Amino acid sequence: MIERGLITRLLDFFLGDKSPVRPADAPVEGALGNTVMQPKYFHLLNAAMKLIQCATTRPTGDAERPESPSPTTAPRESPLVPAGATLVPLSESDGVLLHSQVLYTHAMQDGLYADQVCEIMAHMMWEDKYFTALSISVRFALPARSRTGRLW
Amino acid sequence: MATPFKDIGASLVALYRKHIPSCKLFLSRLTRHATYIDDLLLCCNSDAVRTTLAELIGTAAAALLPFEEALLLEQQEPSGGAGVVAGGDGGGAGGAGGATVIGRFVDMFTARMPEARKNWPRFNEYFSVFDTLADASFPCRRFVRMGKPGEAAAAVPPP
Repeated sequence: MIERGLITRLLDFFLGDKSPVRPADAPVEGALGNTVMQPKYFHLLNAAMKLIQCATTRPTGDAERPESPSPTTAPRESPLVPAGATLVPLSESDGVLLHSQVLYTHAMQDGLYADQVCEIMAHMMWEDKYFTALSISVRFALPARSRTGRLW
Repeated sequence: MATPFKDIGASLVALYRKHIPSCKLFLSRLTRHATYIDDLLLCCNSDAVRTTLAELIGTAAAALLPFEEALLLEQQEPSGGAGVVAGGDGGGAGGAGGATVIGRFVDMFTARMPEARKNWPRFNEYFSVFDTLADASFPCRRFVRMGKPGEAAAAVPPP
């Protein structure tokens, strides 16, 4: 599913017009939801999270690092990545989306998907030290409502 | 209180779990008739119908996967690495998913995303199928390549 671009498709769907991988001339679709009802992205983000946790941003997979799988998947009773398997590299568009600040700010604005976002971020931080720096910048870019500790 | 439809759905789930050819037939039929997905999983106003269908699909896929694992892995090898183009329709008959029922179903199912956007108040069950598939089986997720024996030993975390 990763190799068929499902992560990109899920996250692009989630971000809508804000998606960084969407072509500039793509038609504007508008935000989903209204004042009464908001779309439920729980399962979408859950699926994306599970896929991301079994992938790597490094093109050579696990070859460069001693431990596998990531700390977020290792303690599970039935780990997503079986022993003896290597993580598959993410595509370029997956990488662009996962390194995009808009993904995390958008997901955390309502505070509904904190668990999924935290798992994704934990995996990405383990993957990439530059992502750690980015996530800190996201933390301080959050609206005041979230800075009160609601999410972090 | 469970609705009669939910009772029927629960019975069907139990039956599908035990009968793999039916799972194959069910997923093949859904793949050929994508309008079932639109009508029953996205447009339908009944929560019970959407939830039951999503559960049925998840059950059928999970039951069928062990029998297609070998084929999925076998076909995965020549493709080699990530080569996904953003925004691809994923609906091609070729590729690793082409010869497996699961692969073709996932391709068709993913291609229903624009329809899901139109039906945003009801798309939770649609995405729950992805969630189930991501859980169901390692080869189905298709994001992990089995390493060669030497790589496998190196990849096992130290105790």
